Amino acid sequence: MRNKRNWIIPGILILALLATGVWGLQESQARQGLQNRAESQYQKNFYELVWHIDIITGQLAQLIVSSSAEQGVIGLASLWRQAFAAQSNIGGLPLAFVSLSNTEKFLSDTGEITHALLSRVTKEAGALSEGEINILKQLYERANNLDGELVKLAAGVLDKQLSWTEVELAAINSNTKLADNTILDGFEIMEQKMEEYPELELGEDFQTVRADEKKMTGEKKISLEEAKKLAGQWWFGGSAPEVRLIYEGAGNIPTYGLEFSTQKKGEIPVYMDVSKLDGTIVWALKPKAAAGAQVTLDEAGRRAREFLQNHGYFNLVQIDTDMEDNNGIFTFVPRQGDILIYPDQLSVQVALDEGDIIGFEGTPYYMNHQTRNLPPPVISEERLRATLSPNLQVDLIRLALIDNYWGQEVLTWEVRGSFAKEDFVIYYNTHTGIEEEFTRITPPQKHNFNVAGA
Amino acid sequence: MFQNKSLLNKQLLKKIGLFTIITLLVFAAGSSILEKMEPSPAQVQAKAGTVSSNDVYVLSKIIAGEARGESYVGQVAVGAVIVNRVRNPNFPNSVYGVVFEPGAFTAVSDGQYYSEPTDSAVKAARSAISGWDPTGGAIYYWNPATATSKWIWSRKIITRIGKHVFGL
Repeated sequence: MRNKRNWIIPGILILALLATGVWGLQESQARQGLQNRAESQYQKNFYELVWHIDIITGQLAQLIVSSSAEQGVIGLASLWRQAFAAQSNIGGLPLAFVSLSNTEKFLSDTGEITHALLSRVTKEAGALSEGEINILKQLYERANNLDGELVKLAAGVLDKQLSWTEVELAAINSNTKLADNTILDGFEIMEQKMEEYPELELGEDFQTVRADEKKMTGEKKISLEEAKKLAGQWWFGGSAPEVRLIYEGAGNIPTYGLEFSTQKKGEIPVYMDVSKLDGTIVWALKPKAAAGAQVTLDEAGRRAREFLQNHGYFNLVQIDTDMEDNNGIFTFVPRQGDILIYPDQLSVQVALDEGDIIGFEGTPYYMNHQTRNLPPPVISEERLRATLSPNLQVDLIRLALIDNYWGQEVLTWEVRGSFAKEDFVIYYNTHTGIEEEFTRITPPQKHNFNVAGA
Repeated sequence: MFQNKSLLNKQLLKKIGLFTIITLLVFAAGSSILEKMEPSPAQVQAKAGTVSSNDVYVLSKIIAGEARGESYVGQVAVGAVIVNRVRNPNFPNSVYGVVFEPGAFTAVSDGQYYSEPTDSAVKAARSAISGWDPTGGAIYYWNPATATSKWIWSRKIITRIGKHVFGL
């Protein structure tokens, strides 16, 4: 009797242990299954990357030796596509914490250059010039190097049965050390070699690859105290609440980041960036949630314009209106004569409950605005009209200065029109008549998504 | 003496048994609760506001996960980094591409991304998409207190907002 009882508890324990074991096994199998699926995605992206780089290398060489204009067009189009695919493969690998900017730059350059060459040869139906072949030769050198490194790496990954998910785990978790660093080392070496190459020489007849972001530099002329005073005056017109510096910006514009806030509960702070160079208010934000829409969008737009005029921004054309959550965002550009100056944009946010201003964004205006020397158009509006597609229902034609694909300012005819339910803006160079930009502006379909409460 | 010891043993065994059973129960309950964490439709409908643009919504979810507890400007700044990446030729050219780059954002890796965004994250996302950028062009940010990667410190720092450092 006593002996039997003695077995009850150990029996339960053993059962419990077994149950835990079974449960644990199931969990680990499920986990392994998920990890295998992630691993296969990574492996696929990696081997496709190797493959695409190899095709790019071969395709570049083929273009260099080919003498057929038709093959040139096909080759360029294929290169453009492969460069895009390779970029997407890199984006799908867990390499967020490895610097690959030179490798990525090579791929985006290849994409942009082949795109530009493609539009050049189709427009002029000509073969590639000697200068253009020279650009391709430079790209080939780099591609060939990448190809070599990647093929070596791919063989290593296969040979040693290396796992990408382990690389990912090691990157996320500082405690885990990788047993084998082949993958990360491989990419680092590849990146270093790419870095050693000089800038691409593109030659004079070729437009520069997209210009680097503009940056404003200069002597700091405004003290923090002056900036606080200027900002208080600008937004509150005198009786400004308490203000403190929350950061200093050293990006495109050197700035003081200020926060105005009273100690009162429920009061909404106002954030502003003030340029250290001349005290200009670059942007301002007041994170207010509008409770309803008592003010119409038209009225709000008028108030936005009035706000800009009160702060010295005149001669503006409203180019865009966006409304969501009882908030209106109005975008304006200045006019020089009859010409809309798109690079010098300004935006104002208005809360539609009381019609008060809750945001100002003037970075593009501050960075670009100046009086420009703009020659009259070579192609007249009438001549342009005659060349437009009969399928386009034209709503408006006007002169506009825009930043083109390459980041250069060009004077264009802006044509707004529609086809079926699609709306378009097209910009035609006033000098050459070519389409500089073609943008679909059909408003996107809207859905309502849920948002958690405050 | 002898008897006593065996009694003690029995009590100990009982305690261990009970403990194991309770642990198991807690385990089972816990895992079934975790599986049922998805909110029921009724709960979803009771929530506050709505957003109607895919990009703004995705951006607001990542902001909510990454910049929890940051000031409003700190939230706009995180959103602006993602918008800057979309415009940078070295990064994917859509909000989704940037947000779902493997390992790029902790909130995606640890699943915080998959809950509903807060109101202020939605407002911040909208400001960032409309062009407000407190970072002045940053394409990286990290939290100096928790950043595990040494490489990230090789980036050029352009500003600090709240607990994040922003760089190029």
